[in-house]
Amino acid sequence: MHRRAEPEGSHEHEHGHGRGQPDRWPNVWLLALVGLVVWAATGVYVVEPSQRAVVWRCGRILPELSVPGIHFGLPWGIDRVTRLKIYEQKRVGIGLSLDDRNLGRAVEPRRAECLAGDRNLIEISAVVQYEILDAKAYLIRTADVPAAIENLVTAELSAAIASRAVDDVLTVGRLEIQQQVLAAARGRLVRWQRKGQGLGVQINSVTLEAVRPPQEVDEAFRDVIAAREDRHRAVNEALGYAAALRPGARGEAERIRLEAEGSAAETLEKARGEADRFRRMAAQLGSGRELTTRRLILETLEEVLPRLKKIVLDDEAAKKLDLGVIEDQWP
Amino acid sequence: MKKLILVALLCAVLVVAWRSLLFVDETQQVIVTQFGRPVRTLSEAGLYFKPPYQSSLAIDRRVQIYNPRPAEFLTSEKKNIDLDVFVCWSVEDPQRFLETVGDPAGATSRIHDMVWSKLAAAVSRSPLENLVSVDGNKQRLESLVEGVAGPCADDARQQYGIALVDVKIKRIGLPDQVRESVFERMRKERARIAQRYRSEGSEEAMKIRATADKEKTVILAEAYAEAEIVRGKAEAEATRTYSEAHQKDPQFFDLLRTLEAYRKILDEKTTILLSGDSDLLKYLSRGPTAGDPRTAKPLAEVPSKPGSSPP
Repeated sequence: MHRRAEPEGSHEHEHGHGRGQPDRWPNVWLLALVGLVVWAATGVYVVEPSQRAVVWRCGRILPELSVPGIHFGLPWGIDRVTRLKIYEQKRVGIGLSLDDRNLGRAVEPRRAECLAGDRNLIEISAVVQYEILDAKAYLIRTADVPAAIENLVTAELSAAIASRAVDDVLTVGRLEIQQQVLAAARGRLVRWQRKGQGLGVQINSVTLEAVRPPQEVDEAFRDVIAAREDRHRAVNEALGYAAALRPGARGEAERIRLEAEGSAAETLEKARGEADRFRRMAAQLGSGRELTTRRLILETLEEVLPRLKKIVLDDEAAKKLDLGVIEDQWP
Repeated sequence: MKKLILVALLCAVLVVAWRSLLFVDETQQVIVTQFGRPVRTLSEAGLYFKPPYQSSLAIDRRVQIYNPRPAEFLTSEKKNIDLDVFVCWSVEDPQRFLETVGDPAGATSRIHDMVWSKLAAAVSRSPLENLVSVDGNKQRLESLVEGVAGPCADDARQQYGIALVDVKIKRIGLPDQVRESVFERMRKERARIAQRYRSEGSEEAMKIRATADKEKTVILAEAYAEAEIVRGKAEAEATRTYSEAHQKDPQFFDLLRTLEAYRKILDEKTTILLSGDSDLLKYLSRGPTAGDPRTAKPLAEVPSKPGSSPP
């Protein structure tokens, strides 16, 4: 982070070399030249557009930041220049290493594991974004700002997890945890500032990355999700069954109703027809009533008698008949 | 030779000048010592002058983060937990720090002794639910740590000239030997929840199916009822129609209806005993004179309806 100028040795050597030269040129000019070169090499610096530079003069930081461009400071030993990308969003990983993540490596499980409020273990990792607010404080307060932020935010995250059930953490609590952790971590930095130890940064966001049960119990958690799906499916299947059943029942009901109406009409029509027929027949009886009735009787006998078993007896025999003889023939 | 002496003299002057200058960095405090005895403490950054025979000792004033490996603690109910603790500290009084501690490694070992032993005592007095609990009233992680950090900060300031900027529990974990049993409990709990979801699913499905079945039965029953009413009305109407017609000649209706009944009643299984005297066989037994219908016994009794005349 601190960019210091070249090591001391080279300049001492240059001095020594100048001194050792034969007395052909005046020493004053030589010294001036060497001085100029040293100044140009160490006192002139360039600030890139994305950067601001902090100048340490005799160890004290100058209040003004150097804007992009070329600057003429004092030579090495007096000025030291630190270039900072002060508008950059800086990131630090919690329970995961951002470098490792870029290489596609997994979260280190034991670093991400913590105990939830219902005493279940859960793996949780997050990414914190912060930016520099005060370049001086950022440079002088601690040697390792990312580590400080990582420790502080991890502590707040653990506290948030420790007061929640694992199901909340895994499902609905995500956003709430992020906001709570962000607020708590900011509050912590404000407390540091009140102690005169402000880090000169502002935390912009805490984003939970992977929130998941440890690998050892992963399968059990998956089964719960599958069970929830099963419940959903069973209900949907039942709803489908019900949806199919109702129209079927209504159709069946309609069939019964129509059938009844049909058979009612049939009954009525049949009655009307038969009554009409009877009326006509009765009307035709008139004076030939007896002959007509005999005819009807004989017609019926003609129709019926052929299919019967007939035994003809005279009156005397009939009186002596043992009916058991006939009964035996019945199938 | 004269030139050599001049050069040596110049070098000596440079060295003396160099020894008299003192740069104090923003990240440091500097103690100036004279033959080992501290004479000045420089807390402001900048350029200072000192006699060349005095030497300086820079002490880092930045906040240091001390975060050792997680250590095992015992709660009041003798449960093992791993606490990952970090301490942020800085040198407040460089002279005292130098006298009592000396260097950062010495500082961290003293901080460790102090903070970790106090924390162990505090944790051993509190049940696990003070550390982790879904009940916000029981969880007192913050106050527990504050209770340790406060006295430690006072001790560190007085004894070692160290300021404890922050002490926090970074992570609450479980030691290896407990993890497996916790996992076993988690698995059982998950199995129970999964079982509950599945039972709820079948319960709800059963309710839905039963309701649908009931609705179907009701719909069909209503339809049957309506159908029977329609049929009943039709039959009543038909009966009325029949009886209106039959009223005109009840005897004739009786004859017709009886004959029809014969057709249905008498089938192949029926054996009929006919008397030789019967009207049907009258020609067989009594010859052609029996043919006068007026003297014959009737084949069937068809009473004529008195007073009725055909339309």
